[in-house]
Amino acid sequence: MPRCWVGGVGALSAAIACGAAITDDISDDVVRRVDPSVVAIQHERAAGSGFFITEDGYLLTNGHVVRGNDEEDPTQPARSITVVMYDDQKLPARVIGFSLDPDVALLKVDPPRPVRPVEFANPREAHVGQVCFAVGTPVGLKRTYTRGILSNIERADLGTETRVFQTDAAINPGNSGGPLFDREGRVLGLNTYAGRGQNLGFTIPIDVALVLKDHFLRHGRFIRALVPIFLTSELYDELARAFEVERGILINYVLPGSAAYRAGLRDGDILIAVDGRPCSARRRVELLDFEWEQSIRTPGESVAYTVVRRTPKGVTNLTVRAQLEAMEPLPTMGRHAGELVETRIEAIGLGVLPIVTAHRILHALPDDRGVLVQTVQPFSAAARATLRKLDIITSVAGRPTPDVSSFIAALESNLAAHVSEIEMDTVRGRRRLPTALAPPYPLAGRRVAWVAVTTNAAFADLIRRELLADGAEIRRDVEASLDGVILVADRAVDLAKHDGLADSMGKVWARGGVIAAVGPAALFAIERVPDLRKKKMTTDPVLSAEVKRLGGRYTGGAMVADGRWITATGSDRASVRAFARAVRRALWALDSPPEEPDDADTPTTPTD
Amino acid sequence: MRRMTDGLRARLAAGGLAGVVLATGCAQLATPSAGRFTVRSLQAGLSRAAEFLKPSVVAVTVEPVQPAGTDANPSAEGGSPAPAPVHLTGTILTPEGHVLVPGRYKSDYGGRIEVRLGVDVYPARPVRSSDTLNMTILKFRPRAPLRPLDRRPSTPPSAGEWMVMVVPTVTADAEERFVFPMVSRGEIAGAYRRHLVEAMPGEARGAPVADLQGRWAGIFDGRMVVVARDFADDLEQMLREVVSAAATGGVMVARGWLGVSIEPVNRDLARRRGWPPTAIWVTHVAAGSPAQTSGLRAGDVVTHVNDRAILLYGARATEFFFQTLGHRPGQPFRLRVLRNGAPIEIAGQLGRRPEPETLQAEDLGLTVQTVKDYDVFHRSLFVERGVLVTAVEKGSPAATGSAFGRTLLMPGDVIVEMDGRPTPDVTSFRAVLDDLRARRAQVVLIRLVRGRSTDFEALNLTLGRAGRRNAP
Repeated sequence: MPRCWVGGVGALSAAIACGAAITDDISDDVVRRVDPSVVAIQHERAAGSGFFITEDGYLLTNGHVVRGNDEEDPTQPARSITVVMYDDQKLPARVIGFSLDPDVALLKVDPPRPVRPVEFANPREAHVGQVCFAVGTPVGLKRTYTRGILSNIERADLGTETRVFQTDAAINPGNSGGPLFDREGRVLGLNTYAGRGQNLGFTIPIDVALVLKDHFLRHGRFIRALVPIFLTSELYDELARAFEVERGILINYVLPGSAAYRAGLRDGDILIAVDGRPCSARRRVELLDFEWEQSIRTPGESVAYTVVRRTPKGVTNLTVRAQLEAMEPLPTMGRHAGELVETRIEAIGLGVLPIVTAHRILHALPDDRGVLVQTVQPFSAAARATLRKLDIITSVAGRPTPDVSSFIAALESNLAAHVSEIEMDTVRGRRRLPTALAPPYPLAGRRVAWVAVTTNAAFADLIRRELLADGAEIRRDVEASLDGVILVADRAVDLAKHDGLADSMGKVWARGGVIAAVGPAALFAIERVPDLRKKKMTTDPVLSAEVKRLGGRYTGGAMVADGRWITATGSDRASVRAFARAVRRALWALDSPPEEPDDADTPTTPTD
Repeated sequence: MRRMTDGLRARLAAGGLAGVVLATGCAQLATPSAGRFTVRSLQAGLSRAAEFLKPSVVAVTVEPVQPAGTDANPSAEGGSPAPAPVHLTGTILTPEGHVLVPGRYKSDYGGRIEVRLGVDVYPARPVRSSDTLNMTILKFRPRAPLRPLDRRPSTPPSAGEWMVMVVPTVTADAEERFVFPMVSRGEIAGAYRRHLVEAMPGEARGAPVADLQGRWAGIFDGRMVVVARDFADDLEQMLREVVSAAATGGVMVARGWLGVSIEPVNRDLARRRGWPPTAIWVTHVAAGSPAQTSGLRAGDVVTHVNDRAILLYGARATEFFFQTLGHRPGQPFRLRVLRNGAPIEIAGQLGRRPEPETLQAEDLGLTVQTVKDYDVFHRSLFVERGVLVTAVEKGSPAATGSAFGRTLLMPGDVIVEMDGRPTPDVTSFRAVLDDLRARRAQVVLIRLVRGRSTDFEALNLTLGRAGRRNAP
């Protein structure tokens, strides 16, 4: 018997109110209860909605609301995320984990007082026609309530990993990540703006979001379990008739040589039970539910699959045993942005990825071991070598390169030796083509000192590799005759231990060389080379006061290049890339006359 | 003075001295009267060339077609407006009405093609097209014999040389022939050389071009003048085949086939290995092909085709390769290749491209063909025997799954088993199909390979055009 809100005028109106539920108001009581739980989320590029799930400030939203735009690393979230509460209080937020499919993110803020978390409904009790309401910030309009019904609870044809709910409560851009409440104000799911048709909004069931929340808390990412690899299909009507079965799940493909294959599964098996429990998927939504239930199991668990197999001799049942494993990081596929980090060298215009099994099936790649070409920048050496996205590079200068580290090692040793044509073997479908990469080495002859004391090896390597690929000679020891000194450090004080560093830096600067520093290393540089204090710079923002105290010109920003003095915050890949580009340009321009200064009210001395 | 100029004019009109005067005159005649003379000579040359061309051009209109059963703009609201007809210029090749036009139109071209001669309009049909020339011979039935173009080619033009083109322009009531003088900006190398000229109206495409001596210099392809001397022989050959085919009842002539896949060599790799930078790498040799028979192998690096060195890069190198190779089955070919650094001569004869065994399975809504070595290579197939789906008919059992917009089978799928029986080729596939028909089967299970993975689909044979036959 549904609970009806009665307007207080008597039995007749009470009866009418119960029967005509769709026209009921959402009670003041419910609104007051849920209002403080819903937040607006903003960052440098996008905005959406979210809601608190714990008193100490954990909140859920969509993954796409907080995704970053690091081209090389899709696992990076946005940088400066602000959560605006119902009372307009603003709090900085950090991302604990996010996924684009299921489209869920877990954030954390540190509120001064406990916040009001939502209550959860049971999505399994949801029913079509049920009244529901959404709260969020459609097109920036905060605290907007819209109401409708659940139009469908088995949406399985949008290409999402799990089933989703569908509602006609208005869901507009900005509602993403906000809650869909039932009439009692309990959360049914997270809303996602789907952008098609009218009154077609989609909601990720809350139980899916809570599974992801647990994974994010424990591992920082969602780790799917599987027995690699077999693909399944639902047994739609004609397929069931053709296979002469009533129930089950079709295993249409088992990757030869994989664990599933070795366990004994084969193409065409009909899966009828898992660990003794019967399973079946006659419709797509049932298949998605089944797959989801299996992927949220624990890697390491054993699993038993019972299948029906048709052979020329007849029909047999058999049970195979295997062990669930953690799925490899995903490549970009469908809505998944992927979890593979690209290794890119801009100086030659090439970016590569490791090859995972999913790549081989998704893109029908052959079994050759190598690295996958992900980026080829136009007009670069890689483009001249006619490399293309999805090519597999299997060797460099005759050395096999089965993975990214062997590829980079082989490439770096050839780049360091200034090899004019670096031969590579490539595989593209059935074509095996040798080619050669001819880097232009514009910095050949330039000698730079490289001093890196940092835990962020990836960023440090990125910079060093760009200089190497351009042909610069990179040395550890600093001396006055060098063309440049590049410093990367997590703390300025770590650089103080290098004997003679400050002295040599000063001489390099005086002789017209380049000084470049990332993060706190910039502070060290202006401490020890006073001339640099006249020039514009940036560093880790927390050190800006220190810089000003020393008389430096802190302008902020991700990267600042003031003539031969180049600095960057180093806090994200974009600033590190900009830094690397500026250093390469500055080293290249060392023989040219100085440029006109851009800042009209800054007179510079002729030697700058 | 006047007598001399009159006399010269008379001789120019007769076409005698023109070449000498124009070739040598410009440099030597520096006086004002000489300047006027040069201009008049130029004008005379232009009109002579125009008179040479005018009787041998026709206006051609081609109505474009969309493939049957498809919508250029599939959407809920309906299709897009019909595309506009294309206006071209045709060159008359025979008195009986053979006309050369640019582009490739197959003999089953579905749209209307019309030839306009003065006030008369005639329907025309394509009889022969050439991929290498990118031209088609049309045929129509004129009321009176026509004047074909004198196709003795001139010496190839040089950069800076003047040429003339005549373009028939069709208005509502009339057809005018306009004269377009043009100048070569420069020559572009290739098996068929081309000269860049200034921009011209769209209907000029296909117009024959003459030099100032009134001889045939080339054909305007829409952007450039293709040098007549280079393709005249191939054109005559094509015309001979058409005329003899008409005489013998119209046998389709197959194209010569070598059976290789090639890619231009990367220049930096070539430099490192000591190969010519314009060489061509053989990526694949089709099984059973003339290339295989001649001993050519994947990994060979080709430097010469029919004794001509490959001197071009990239796509022009591969174009040069196929154009120089030859077009007729039985035509001999010679290649010089580098194998492991050492030069080898390869010789053979072009064959006939094998037509793939194709079947249109109407009951299923599929067009399939037997998988060949060529398909395996070019489509990077993971299976070597089966039938390849090349088309899926909308609304058929193969197209109709439960989700709109996604067909059960797709072009590129390879069917390896149907109804539990292997289908390594069209013959076995047809046998299973016949059996299904005889049984009035309502459902058929298909096992296919898509990319690397196997898939199973079951088609509902009570759907689609032929479906009623199988209804329970």
